[in-house]
Amino acid sequence: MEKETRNNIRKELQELGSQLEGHSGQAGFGVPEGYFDRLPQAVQQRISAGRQHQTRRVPAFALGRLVPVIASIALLIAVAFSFFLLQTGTENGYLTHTDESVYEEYFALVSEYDRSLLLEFASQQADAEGLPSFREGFLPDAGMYSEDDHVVEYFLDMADYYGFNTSDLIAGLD
Amino acid sequence: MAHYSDDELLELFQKGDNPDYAFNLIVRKYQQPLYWHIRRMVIVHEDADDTLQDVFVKAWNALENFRGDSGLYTWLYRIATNEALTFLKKKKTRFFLPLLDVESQLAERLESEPLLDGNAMEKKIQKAILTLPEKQRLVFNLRYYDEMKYEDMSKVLDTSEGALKASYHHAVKKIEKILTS
Repeated sequence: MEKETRNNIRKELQELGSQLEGHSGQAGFGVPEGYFDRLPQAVQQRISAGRQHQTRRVPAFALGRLVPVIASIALLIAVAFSFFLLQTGTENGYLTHTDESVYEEYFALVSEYDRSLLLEFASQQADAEGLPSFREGFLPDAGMYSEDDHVVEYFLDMADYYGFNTSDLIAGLD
Repeated sequence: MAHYSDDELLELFQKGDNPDYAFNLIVRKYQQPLYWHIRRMVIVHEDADDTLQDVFVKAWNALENFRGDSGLYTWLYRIATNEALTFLKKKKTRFFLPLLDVESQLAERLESEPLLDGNAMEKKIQKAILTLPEKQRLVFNLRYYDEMKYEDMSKVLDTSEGALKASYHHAVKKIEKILTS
């Protein structure tokens, strides 16, 4: 080690008024006899063992075997993910979590009669679940929601408010 | 053994005909300073031996692409430091102990360490060092025992020289307090 650095360290300790100044700087540990003579060989053996392991690690035939394993894992992940999505859909599959265009398309096709059925069904659901009456305060005034988009908007709002599952609403038409 | 500079060793390894021989020279040059650096962190010889061998294996694997920007000396110290810290972390995870407990465990080992041939004062200093936070312990060891320049230490620990000086001064004061109490 450079003499200058050593002097700087001593000076630093002196300035700090440390009694460490007088120590040799040796940690006082010992090693088994001949340890440093044997170490380079031990390291070389580890490196050689690593080389052999690396060349053995992925032989060509093993790569062939790996393909179905990887495919199986990917399939499992895909199934698990789909299941997760399905679960999410079952628990939270209300209109607010669904693409509105799907329902807009549906509502564009339903007749005036079907809409009234839907309203009826929604009201029954609300009553059954002890929610505020569907009709009270939410039933559109005549003529106010004559356009399809208004009806859709109304249904979306209602479904959102009551937390109805849209499949239930649609099933109510049958 | 001829004394090669780090640059010469690197060139011999990367461009020479016999990288095994060049690496052997690197191991011989650095085995002792790196061993003591690791040993002071992990205390037990067997642990220091395993960790040091891991350091050299990692260095071997990476040396081919080593560009030498940071210098072989600081690069090897950096690997050794990281390996020693990883070892302590694993020890902590394995036994579900906070690091403080690992260090008090090390202090106990230090007490019973058969290979410790230092005098009573050395043992006292080592025990005092073990009470320091990990980073301060590293800084103190690198400066006090390895006599490393702050500039090099900054490269090893990726910390500013100012912060390292402050950390070292703090560590010296703490050790002093323990030794005089």
